[in-house]
Amino acid sequence: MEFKLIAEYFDRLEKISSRLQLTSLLSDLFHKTDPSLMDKVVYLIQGRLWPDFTGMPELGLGEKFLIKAISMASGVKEEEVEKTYKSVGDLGEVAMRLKSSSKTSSILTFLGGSQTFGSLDVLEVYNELVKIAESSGEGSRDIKIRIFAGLLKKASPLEAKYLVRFVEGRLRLGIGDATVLDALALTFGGSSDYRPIVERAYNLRADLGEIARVIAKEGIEKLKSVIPTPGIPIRPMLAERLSDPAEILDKVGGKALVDYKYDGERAQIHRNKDKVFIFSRRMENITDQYVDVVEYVTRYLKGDDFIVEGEIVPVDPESGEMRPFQELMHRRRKNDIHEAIREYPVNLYLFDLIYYGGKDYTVEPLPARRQKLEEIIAENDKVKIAEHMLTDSVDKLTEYFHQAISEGAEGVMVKSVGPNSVYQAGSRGWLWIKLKKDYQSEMADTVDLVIVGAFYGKGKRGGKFSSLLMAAYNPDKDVFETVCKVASGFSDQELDEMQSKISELKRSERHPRVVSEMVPDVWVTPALVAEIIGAEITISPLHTCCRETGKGGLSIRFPRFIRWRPDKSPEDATTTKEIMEMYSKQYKKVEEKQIDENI
Amino acid sequence: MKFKAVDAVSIASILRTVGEFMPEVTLVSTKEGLRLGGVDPSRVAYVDIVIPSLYFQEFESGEREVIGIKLEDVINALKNVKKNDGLTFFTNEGKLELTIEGDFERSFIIPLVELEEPKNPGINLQFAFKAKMLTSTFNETLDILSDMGESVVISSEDGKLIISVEGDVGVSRVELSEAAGNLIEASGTNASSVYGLDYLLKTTKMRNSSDVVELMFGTQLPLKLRFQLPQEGYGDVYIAPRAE
Repeated sequence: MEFKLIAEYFDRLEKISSRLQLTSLLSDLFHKTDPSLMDKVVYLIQGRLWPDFTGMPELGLGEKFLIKAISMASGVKEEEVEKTYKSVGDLGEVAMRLKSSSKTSSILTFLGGSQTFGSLDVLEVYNELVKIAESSGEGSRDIKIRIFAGLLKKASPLEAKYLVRFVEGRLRLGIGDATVLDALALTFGGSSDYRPIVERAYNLRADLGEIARVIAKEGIEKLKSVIPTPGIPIRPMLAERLSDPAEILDKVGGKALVDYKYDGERAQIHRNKDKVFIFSRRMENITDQYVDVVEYVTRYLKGDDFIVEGEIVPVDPESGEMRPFQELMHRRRKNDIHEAIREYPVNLYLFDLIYYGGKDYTVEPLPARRQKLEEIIAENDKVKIAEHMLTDSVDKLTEYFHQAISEGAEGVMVKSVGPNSVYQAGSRGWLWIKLKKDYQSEMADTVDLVIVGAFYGKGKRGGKFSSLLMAAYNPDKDVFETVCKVASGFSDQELDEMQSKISELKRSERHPRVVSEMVPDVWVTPALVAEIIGAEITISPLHTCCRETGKGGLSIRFPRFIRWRPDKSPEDATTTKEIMEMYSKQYKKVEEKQIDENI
Repeated sequence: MKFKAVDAVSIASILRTVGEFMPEVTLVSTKEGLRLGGVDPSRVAYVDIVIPSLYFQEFESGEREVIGIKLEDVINALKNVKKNDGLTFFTNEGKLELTIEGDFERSFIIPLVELEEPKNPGINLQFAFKAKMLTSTFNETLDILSDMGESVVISSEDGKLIISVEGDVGVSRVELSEAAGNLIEASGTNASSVYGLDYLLKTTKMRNSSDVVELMFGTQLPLKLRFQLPQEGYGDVYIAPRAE
């Protein structure tokens, strides 16, 4: 399969923004894809070589080295490449232009061996990129550059454009996982009716390339038998949010299992014989940061073929009391993990069991899952089942919530125990509802929003990005709709961090998945999530969030930055539906307040 | 295959030179000798080293044996070789056994890697100008010009060889000729081409294996450097011209 075909489709995909058209075109490409290459083609579309959870290395070719490679491949001096980059602003475009205009200086042109090397094929491209990623040690930079220059040299101008963008991590196709799932259902099922089957398989085995490979080689029916596999993360079940304990209990059917909601790192822990894998909420492999947890799991959980879920919580080494989530960031930053383990010890609080000994527990109700979890755990100071109680009383729930807060938890998770209380991988539903402490004050409810644009500041902040255009995620349309422009709450350090983060993600045009009427100084690829708090949610003619209500969009008044949320992906951000629910609640409260005042 | 060389430094330098161009290489041995090389990953250079069997003190080979080696592994093993050390390569069950004999004997076992055998491209280039010089002269010239810029202009004017680099601070130019005594031989017509200086600098380690280098080029043609090796062996490095 020629890489040319992929580049041509990328070129067409980039030019359209309608999700329906994207799906249809992607499906067209899948029809033309050799089934044995399906996984690789999907990874290339996702802009990666393998799923993040594999922990495999990244390509490791920064802008400077790409410029060098483009120079080598096009025979144009580095200064010239840089100059063109400054005027064009897109290295992919630069590679395309220089490849089109310059004479190639491949040695093969002179040695009569060109027929041996032919045009680029997908497998060759993939394998060469893998070589680049896997090159390590002394002299590896030079090797990486030269392998990439070799690919560029052989590439057509259009192929070069997308090769460079791929390595830069900026394909700009506007295709999210949801669109790939739609296209797979359409290609191999014939219609979007098959989407739930594909999505279920993906939720249980969060490797889109692998799902695509199975469906292409063995058909859609095979996907029905997919069960969780230790070593491959499953997409976590998510909770809805409410602030009224009575309403929460009502929603879950009157009786609930109430777990402490710890302020820690949600972790999916897999064991496959001697190997233990820990995956974050975003399904990144974080095993290396928690070698102590690996040891706890090996020692205190029975069996060697399971998937459990829990919260890794930092604790004070002196008092053993819970510490804030931010302390875990030291584990990410520390070079010496053993020192980090000593300075920032953790406890593991388990709350679910997803798979055990060949059996898929996601289809079992929560009580059965918890019973199995209790069977396999040898509880001690470091590894416990999350603090919990079973209740049907609103008063007890409220009391328990306050108790959780006073002990350092964020709040509680209220979970259905009914016969249908299955583990809904990858979905946010009413089987789990969170009650967090910030819900107790007026829009003291924080939201997690995605940065989609940035504005330059004035005065002291002149020339620097100082405010951000924030958006909520609309999962139905797979787009990001703007909610507010946040300019306060940043520390000097956070402002500095913002400059580099935005510079890496800035773009000249609006991202196809962003819906905005406000035009920022620079657009930003939706990738960064920040926690925002505000005074209230109001109707705004400027913002596009929940625009279909007919009253204009919704926006957050007086937004303030709280912190970055590197643990969340853009699709994990607060949804437009949640913003609407928060607005409705608040509206109801105001109405009630007015009635009270009138009385 | 098995071969033993009396001068480990020379073999190590050849392998280090090849290692400058590519991470892995295929070694092909026949009754006539050993051949290694290939196109570098950036497709700018082609390396072709031929070492005749007579070069070695001992040489055993089947009709045609092909092995792949990761050069970093072998170069690391050879990093401390000295002038009078002997060196033996021996392949056995998917591994390369490497023995260095000197003040004391050192042995290394290195796994072989599966590589696609490169097809030697047919080469038929008519160069406008050829010059032969001591490898040390060539290296000194590159030493003078290194760090001055990224591309080097090689030209011939009335039998003289001119190598120059244009950098931010000006132009550095070295003129070599038979009359001045720094070229052993020179012949051909006027020509000029530009090459990546980086690629030329990668060849400097051949100094330990070869005393004489022949330089050949033409306008918009590759530069060919032929490093002469004992017993009519050679190390050819072809570098594609840059489009300036």
